[in-house]
Amino acid sequence: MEKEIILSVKDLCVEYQADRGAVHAVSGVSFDIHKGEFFGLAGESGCGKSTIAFSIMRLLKGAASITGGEINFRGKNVLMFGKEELRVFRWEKSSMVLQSAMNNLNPVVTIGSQLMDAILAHEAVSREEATKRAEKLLALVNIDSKRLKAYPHELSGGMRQRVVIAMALALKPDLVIFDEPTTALDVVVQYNIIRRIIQLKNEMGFAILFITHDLPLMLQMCDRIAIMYAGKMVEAAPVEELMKQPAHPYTSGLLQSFPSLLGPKVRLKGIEGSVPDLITPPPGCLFADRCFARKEDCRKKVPEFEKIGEGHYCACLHKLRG
Amino acid sequence: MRGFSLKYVIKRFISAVFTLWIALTINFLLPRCMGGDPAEYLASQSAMGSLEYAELMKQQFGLDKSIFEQYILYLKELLHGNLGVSYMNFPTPVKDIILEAIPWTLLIVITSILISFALAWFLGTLSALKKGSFFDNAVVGTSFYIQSIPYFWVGMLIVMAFGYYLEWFPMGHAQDAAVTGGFLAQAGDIAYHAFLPVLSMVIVSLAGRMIMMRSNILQVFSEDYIVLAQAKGLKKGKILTKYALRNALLPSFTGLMLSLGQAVGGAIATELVFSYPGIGLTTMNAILSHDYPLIQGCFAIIAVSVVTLNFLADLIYPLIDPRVSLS
Ligand SMILES: Nc1ncnc2c1ncn2[C@@H]1O[C@H](COP(=O)(O)OP(=O)(O)OP(=O)(O)O)[C@@H](O)[C@H]1O
Ligand SMILES: [Mg+2]
Repeated sequence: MEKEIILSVKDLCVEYQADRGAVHAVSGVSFDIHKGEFFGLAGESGCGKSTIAFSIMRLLKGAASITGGEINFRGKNVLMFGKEELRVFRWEKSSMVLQSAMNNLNPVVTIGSQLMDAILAHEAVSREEATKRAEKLLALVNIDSKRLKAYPHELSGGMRQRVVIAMALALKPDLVIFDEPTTALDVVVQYNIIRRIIQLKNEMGFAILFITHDLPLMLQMCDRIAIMYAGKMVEAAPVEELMKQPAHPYTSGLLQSFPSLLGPKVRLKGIEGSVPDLITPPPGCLFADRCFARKEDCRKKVPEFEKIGEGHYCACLHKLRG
Repeated sequence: MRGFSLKYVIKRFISAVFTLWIALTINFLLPRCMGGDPAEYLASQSAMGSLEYAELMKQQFGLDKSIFEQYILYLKELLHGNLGVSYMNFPTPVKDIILEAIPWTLLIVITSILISFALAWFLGTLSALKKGSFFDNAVVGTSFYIQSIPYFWVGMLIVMAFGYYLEWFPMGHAQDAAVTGGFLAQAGDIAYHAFLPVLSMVIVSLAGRMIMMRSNILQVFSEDYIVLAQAKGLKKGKILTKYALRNALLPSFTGLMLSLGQAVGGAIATELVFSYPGIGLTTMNAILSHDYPLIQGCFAIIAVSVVTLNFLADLIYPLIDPRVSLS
């Protein structure tokens, strides 16, 4: 039984205007996220993950422009939203937790006030009511409600990020975007936070777009994973399928460059070479330079991102499996 | 809970007193290193210029005592608020001369600082909000240009244009003795005289402050917490007032307090250009005529105001920025 699709990104293209020319940060990315799904987006630094997250929230800054594609939320194109529709979409339908754990909160405003702002901006409730709600939200992420009056610097990094997570859930959105929410935290704190996110997701039923370059972490918790390379999606598949039968050489390379805790001992392999220039990308497959399965035509023909199995897509001329 | 910790206040206070003591000691030594003998100078200026007369003056002002005795005497008198008697305007006490000059300096300096900061905050914010627009480019361009002009040049230009050629404003002094009449007439006359000095100081100080405010705002706008505030669906006005302005204003608060601290001594150039009878002009005249007690009096008052405002800034800052600890 297929679940309802809540977010559908189609052929998204985003460019940054730089001195040397346009940086093709995202070129033709498509993916769907279903209701209540834990969707992971992985890829090396600079491949365009944050750009996609910001595009969905319509938060790209001046230098960036969306040059093509659609972002449909429950069938409505976010890119066409008017001012008021956008204001409602932001936080009531979709919220986000940003990359840097430490700078998500304004240092001179109490966390309680920042939590309440999210509520008061969207719902006609009294301050007392909003305060009560804020206290409950803190309890949700295991923080004492007395800390409402605390300033961000009075909390640990992990606590701060939990406050932001609580804030993201304030209006019970359908989708929460996490852009590397735990990168700046130590492993134990990171583990606790992610466990709590999963619990909350199961209780509240929101869908997650989880961005990271930590593939092993992602394999443990996602339902489906998409792998990006140089602004393009190279493979998307349910987790088990991706782990067992990666179709793209890049995915396979990534899987082999991390040690497995439980699996048999294997030689770790990195992927040699570096990412192509995104201002003047080479013709053909962008990964060709670094690919161990490269053939003649790879430098000439651009591979299609095509379906190769149930929920499994891949963009490669010479897939590792049928 | 946040509030003043007594220990913090005492620590700041001791440090302020210590700084003041150093400043006052230097103040005692400096005029004595400048050379030139005031008594002989006085004698040479007076009709009966003679060595005997000079000796007499020396005795009268304690210049014949050892430097150490002079220092003790100086500190003792200072503690009693007694700044001595001016050599030049004998026997007017230095205190009276300073008390007469201070209000004028405070008037033009504080007025110009407040106007300058208010304008800088307003224009800087507007410029940042409209980054890249014609207005922004004009503001930034003009600022860089003005910043490179020395104060004297601006001051003289203003005197020449509005005072000398156009004759719209007086070229000097703080008030017109001929203007009597009611309070309003006098206040109007004082404002009329203060206009050009204030204008010149605002012009010169505005540019740098505006550029700083603009870059503070731009810096704050690039912070993640602003992006998150936008993502939360907050209204633009709310984001600006609650999430951006306070953070951008904090750094310049220290600047404001320091400027106010330097208010008393900071207007020397202005007062020279506009012959404005404040502390700056008084200090300058005192130096030119080797009037030790008056020089020391002026410098002492400048030192006290700088140290006091620094002390106040230290006390106030933790109250407006929660990140600064009070202990
Ligand atoms: N303001 C900008 N101007 C020019 N190029 C930019 C700008 N911002 C991002 N880029 C480029 O766009 C590409 C995608 O950036 P993005 O931040 O989306 O990557 P990312 O996958 O989130 O990386 P990371 O894992 O480091 O966060 C990068 O190559 C980056 O150099
Ligand atoms: Mg990123």
